[in-house]
Amino acid sequence: MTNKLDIKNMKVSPKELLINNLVPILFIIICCVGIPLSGYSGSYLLNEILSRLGRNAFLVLSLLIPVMAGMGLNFGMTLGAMAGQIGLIFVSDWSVVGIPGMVLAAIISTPISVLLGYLCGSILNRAKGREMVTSYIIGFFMNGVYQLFVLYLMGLVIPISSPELILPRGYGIRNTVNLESMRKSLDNLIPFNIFGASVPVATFILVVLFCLFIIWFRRTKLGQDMRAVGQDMEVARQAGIKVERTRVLSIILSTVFAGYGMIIYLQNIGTLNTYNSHSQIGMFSIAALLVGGASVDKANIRNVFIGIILFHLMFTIAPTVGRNLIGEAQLGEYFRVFVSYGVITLALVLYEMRKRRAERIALEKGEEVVA
Amino acid sequence: MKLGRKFFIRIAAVLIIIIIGVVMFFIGKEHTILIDNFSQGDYKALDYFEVSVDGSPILDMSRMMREQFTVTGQKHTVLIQWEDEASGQMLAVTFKITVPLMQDMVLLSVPTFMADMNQPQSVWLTPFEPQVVVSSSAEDNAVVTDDTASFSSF
Repeated sequence: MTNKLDIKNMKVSPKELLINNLVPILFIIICCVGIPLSGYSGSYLLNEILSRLGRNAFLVLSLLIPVMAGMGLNFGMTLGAMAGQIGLIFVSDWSVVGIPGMVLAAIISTPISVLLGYLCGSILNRAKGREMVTSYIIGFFMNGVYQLFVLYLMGLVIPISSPELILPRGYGIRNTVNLESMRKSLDNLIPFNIFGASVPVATFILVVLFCLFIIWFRRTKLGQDMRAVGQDMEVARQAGIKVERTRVLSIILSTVFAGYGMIIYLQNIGTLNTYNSHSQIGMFSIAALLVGGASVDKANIRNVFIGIILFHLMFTIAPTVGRNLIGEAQLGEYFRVFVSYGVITLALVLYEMRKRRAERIALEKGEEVVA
Repeated sequence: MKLGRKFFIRIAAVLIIIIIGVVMFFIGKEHTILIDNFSQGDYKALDYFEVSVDGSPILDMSRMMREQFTVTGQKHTVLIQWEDEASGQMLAVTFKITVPLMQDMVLLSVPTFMADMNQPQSVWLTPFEPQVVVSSSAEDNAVVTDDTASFSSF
């Protein structure tokens, strides 16, 4: 009989602790060095962080459920973002504005997200152990389908009447959709200021409700099943849990919430870049989560908030630091993009290192690894 | 096949969501009301009046002027104030209008309304279709599908 070695609860040395939290520590250093160099005032940074926290929290929180189910970081959240955007295109065409417009866009996006999430989850069930790269490629594939719908079918087959949305040739949606009539309608629903910074209270209430939902969800039967599946699929299957169904449900939930998150995100921005807004959302949301100290197999609400604050603090200061140091703001732009990709790479490498180390220790001790 | 309680609960939930969607459409639909002070046939334009829609800030209007109000929902209250030439007193009239649901823009002809306030709404509130200039140059039809184009907006 083999003993199980739980790598999550292993005692770690200070050096290992440092390596395990390398990403957040690196970001804290970058921010500590960058803030004085940027020359931004405290109230400006506070305003930016509060705004970006409200804008991105829902999107990043939507990543937690698949991690719980052991499916890693859901790059397929892009699918939900596309569904949210389709909802927004329709409400813009129908001239439904403000909060009712957001609610209607969310209602339209839900069945699309469910369908896309089901497709994605079903494919991921056929690619067990390679979920992240598969979901990443599904995102690219679906982007093509999205472009087919938005660029060719909308206006030709799908009725879109607004000349402000349709390309002059008579079909296809323009590059940008103006969401001015919806801009900050949720953020400014309950006006509140602190130290000269505007606080998006209503958005934060939604985010808190979502956090409470996640906490509650973890305790439900389905949540427990997801955790069991995340721990060990074979054991979960033997315990009578429908593993494939549970995994698909986790992706569907994540996709649906990503769609809502995208709507919240775009109401804050006020402009929808039809062909680009969704394309990097998965990358940046995952980077933010990893910056908060999450890993491929472990993520919680604390990681979400720490990650958004650190990642977006870097995002805010980077262009100005680049300009102040080298006289080139564009360098800061490149820096933050480079860091986004870099942080994901670093987190994946660290995760793999930890896993291999645990496997090596387990092999030496003749124990079975529980990731 | 026996349909369980769960099935009916799901159907009810879907119906409730659809109803919420329809309600959102009705209350969130944006309309533009053009307040027009141009002469319409026998009805001469007013020299001067003030107008407000749904309690918005009052706008001054003189001859040959047209102002626009952006509103949401179908039912709105319009306030018109003008000076009576005989008595020199300010008079005011408040009335309700219902904008057709699918009509984005309507034109309210104040001279027509003021000539006879008892006329049906369809006489002084008419659908308005703005002229759209359509350009079809290759540049206007171009779309940007560059994956990195949204970096700076993030």
